[in-house]
Amino acid sequence: MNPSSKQDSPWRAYLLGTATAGQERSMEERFLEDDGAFEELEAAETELLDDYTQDALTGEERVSFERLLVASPRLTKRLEVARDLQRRFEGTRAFSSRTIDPPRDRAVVPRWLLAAAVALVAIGGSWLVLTSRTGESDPKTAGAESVTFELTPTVRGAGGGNDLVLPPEAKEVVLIVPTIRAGERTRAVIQDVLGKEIWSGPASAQGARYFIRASAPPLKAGDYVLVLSSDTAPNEVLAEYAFRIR
Amino acid sequence: MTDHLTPEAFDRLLAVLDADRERAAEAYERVRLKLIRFFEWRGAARAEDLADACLDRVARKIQEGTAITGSDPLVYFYGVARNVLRESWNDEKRRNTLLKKAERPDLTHREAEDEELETRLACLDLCLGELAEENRHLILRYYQGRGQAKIDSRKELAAGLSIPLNALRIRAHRVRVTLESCIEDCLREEGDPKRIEGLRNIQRDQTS
Repeated sequence: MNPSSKQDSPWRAYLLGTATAGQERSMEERFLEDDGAFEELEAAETELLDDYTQDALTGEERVSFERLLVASPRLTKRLEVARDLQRRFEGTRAFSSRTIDPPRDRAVVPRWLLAAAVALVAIGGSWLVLTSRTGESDPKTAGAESVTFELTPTVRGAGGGNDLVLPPEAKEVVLIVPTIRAGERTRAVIQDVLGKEIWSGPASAQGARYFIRASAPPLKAGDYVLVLSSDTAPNEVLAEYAFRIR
Repeated sequence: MTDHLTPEAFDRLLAVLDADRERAAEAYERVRLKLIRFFEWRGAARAEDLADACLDRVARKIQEGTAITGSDPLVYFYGVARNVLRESWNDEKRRNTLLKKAERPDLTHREAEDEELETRLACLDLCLGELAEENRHLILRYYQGRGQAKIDSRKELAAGLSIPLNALRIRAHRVRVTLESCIEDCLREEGDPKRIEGLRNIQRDQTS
């Protein structure tokens, strides 16, 4: 339950896409055959939802988990419940909820909740006090400093599909593209249309995708190409993605 | 996807899962659920369709005479599921997804949702109230506090129940699943003004 044991959880690594291909296969075989393993995996999913809601994931974990969230209406529903539970029991604002919670001064507290509070206070709990707190702004959620885009393979110059809207306050842009050679260190370079290097850095592989974290300020409005090459053979281009910043 | 499946092919599929038809039907639902999760956890957008396509394909193979050998037929299902997933990656046009926090309608709340939030919290309270006392106590303790206080609280709770932390996590997850199912049922009637008024009356009664 402590942070380190969480990070060591193989199920959590599977859900976040950080398990190796071999581990993924082994875990998938296991949960398909074993109902107990399947339940453990579902419990890990619940825990990830709670951690996401409480802003307890690292930046990369959050990006990975958001990929699952946006693709799954079931998980989006579960996320709502996780937020509601947090509101009810912790009295703090849900992560990434930028709006002001409705005033809680008129909030009613069910009788069973009062009874449970008495029981919990008797054992040292203090959650009831928290349930009546109003939402407070969370400095960690202020401003969209990091934005994430998934790039589609395109023909250079065509620009089709990869039109990215970069907010002025963005400090970091995360580009997601499919992994090309698993296990091989890959370098990413962002060039302008004249081939001038704007940014370069590692392409971090997570499961079937690379996550490329680039500095946003140098990316002004215009056309760019993301070039992926082998770290050991920089001249060998593995893939190119054209995109346009608006 | 399964609408093209003949009853005969479906029967043969069930027979592979269990000799007893009733148990086979349960096994089928369980396998289908696991396949849906498999596709979801691999990031596929149409997980249910892909799970059905997988089951459909296995049934056809069996009808065509493929013998599923080995101690567990699920190994074969898994092999087919991996193929279906790979094909879906090829078929699916990659979306250019902007995940900017403030513009994620599915992941953020909007001001206009205040009333909806009230209803959801009312449903949550109602469903917490419907839990067995033991389970309600467990879930309240489980979600109590934040950070280290929460970790300590869970350790105490596990010690009090004489179970390891992982067992506590599973137990809390089970209660959570029950709770979510109740909330979903409650919200299904969200559009009914009488239902909403009823929920508010319950809250008023509970506090009076």
